Amino acid sequence: MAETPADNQEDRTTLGEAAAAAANPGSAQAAMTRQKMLTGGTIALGGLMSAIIAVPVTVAALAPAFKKVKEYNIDIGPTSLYPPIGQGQAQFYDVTFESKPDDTSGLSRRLVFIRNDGNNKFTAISNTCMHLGCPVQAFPTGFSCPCHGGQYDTQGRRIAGPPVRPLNRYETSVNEKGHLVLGQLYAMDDSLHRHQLKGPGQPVDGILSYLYPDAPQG
Amino acid sequence: MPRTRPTAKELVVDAPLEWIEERSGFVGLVESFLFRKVPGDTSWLQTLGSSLLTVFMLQATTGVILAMSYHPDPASAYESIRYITDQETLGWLVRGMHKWGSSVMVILLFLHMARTYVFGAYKYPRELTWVTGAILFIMVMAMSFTGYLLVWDQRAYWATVVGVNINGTGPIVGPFLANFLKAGPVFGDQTLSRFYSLHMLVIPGGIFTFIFIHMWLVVRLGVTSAPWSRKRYDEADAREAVESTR
Repeated sequence: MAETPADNQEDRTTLGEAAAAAANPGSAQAAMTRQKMLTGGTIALGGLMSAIIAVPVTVAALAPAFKKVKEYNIDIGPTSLYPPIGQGQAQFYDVTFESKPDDTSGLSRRLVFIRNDGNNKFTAISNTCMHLGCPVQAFPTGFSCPCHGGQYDTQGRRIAGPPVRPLNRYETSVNEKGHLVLGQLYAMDDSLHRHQLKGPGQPVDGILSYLYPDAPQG
Repeated sequence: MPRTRPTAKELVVDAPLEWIEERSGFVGLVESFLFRKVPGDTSWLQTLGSSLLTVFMLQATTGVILAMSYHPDPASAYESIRYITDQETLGWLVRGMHKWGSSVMVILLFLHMARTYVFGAYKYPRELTWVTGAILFIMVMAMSFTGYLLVWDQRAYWATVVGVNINGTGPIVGPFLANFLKAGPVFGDQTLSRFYSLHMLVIPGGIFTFIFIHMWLVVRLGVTSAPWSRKRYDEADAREAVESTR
């Protein structure tokens, strides 16, 4: 391509095109020069190629945040393992189990506190503190968290410290073999009503609960 | 004019540099970076930024070496850390430099930021330098957070559980952010590899990019005088100086 003085100018329309555009403002040259078309095309193509890379990558990175995990019913053995406990002692049995039965990494290991309420009824309280998720311990007076001092009564209701709601619970049932089975994990409010599970530190009732949309929980 | 034999320095140092300079301009670039003008009463406090850069280089270098032996897998991560510390030649030293360097970096970052604030160095025309610095600050915090899990001992695990749940208490996006970090609704083996990828690929890439922009701005706009300087410019002088560079 021959060098013209116009090539060095900021607007790289050729003199001919500029003249044609000036002569006839409604002409094709005035609306769109070859240079402008190629510039626009290059930017559009670059944008398209970036999107082809960026969109799948972003979706793949974000997708796990919206995915639910498979939940299992966990058989934790015959109910005779968990007889009622006398007054003055911690009312709970510590039971460790794998929330994903085939997992050997230890990452799905959970601890649950089982209490025999009589008449083949059981309460299963999760050990995850509802402040920020540390493991709580059972005492005769309730539960206590070592991380930031959250205290709960024997029902798992907060009595002191930073937790925002009572401890989570598992559904319990007794199967045909007479074994205690843990079902779904769920959240509780202060009057011990069941709620959709949310993460630690997220209130399930009251006005603040609207700040925490239901992201999948496990 | 008699031809003189070139000296050893001319042959070994000057000639190759000249060869490179003629083709790339790199030598001039480095010179204009290293030998730029600064106010005569520049303080030692203004070396905190270059100290930070030095510690970042240390972290990047030791991090690359550690990555050669580390396994981002729940079954073997802790064992690989023990291997680095106890078996590898000087592994204990490289790991120790990375560990202590991370604390030093955070301390220097706060001092550097405090110095900038006290000197008023965030004011016109250096607002963008402050903003890019704030972004770097956030990324260094994210590095500290993601690096902490990789040791994969009880403290690392529970500290990260708490840290992720703190993210979860952010309004509206919090629960999704926590799940993003965990790579799902619960801690799993994907969590460790996600943290590893964030720690050694994603965030360092961002830090490199923003250090480049940050330093570009520092070199372009020059260094602020100390508040006690008699030569201190006011804003009108600064505007005039910026105009004159256009």
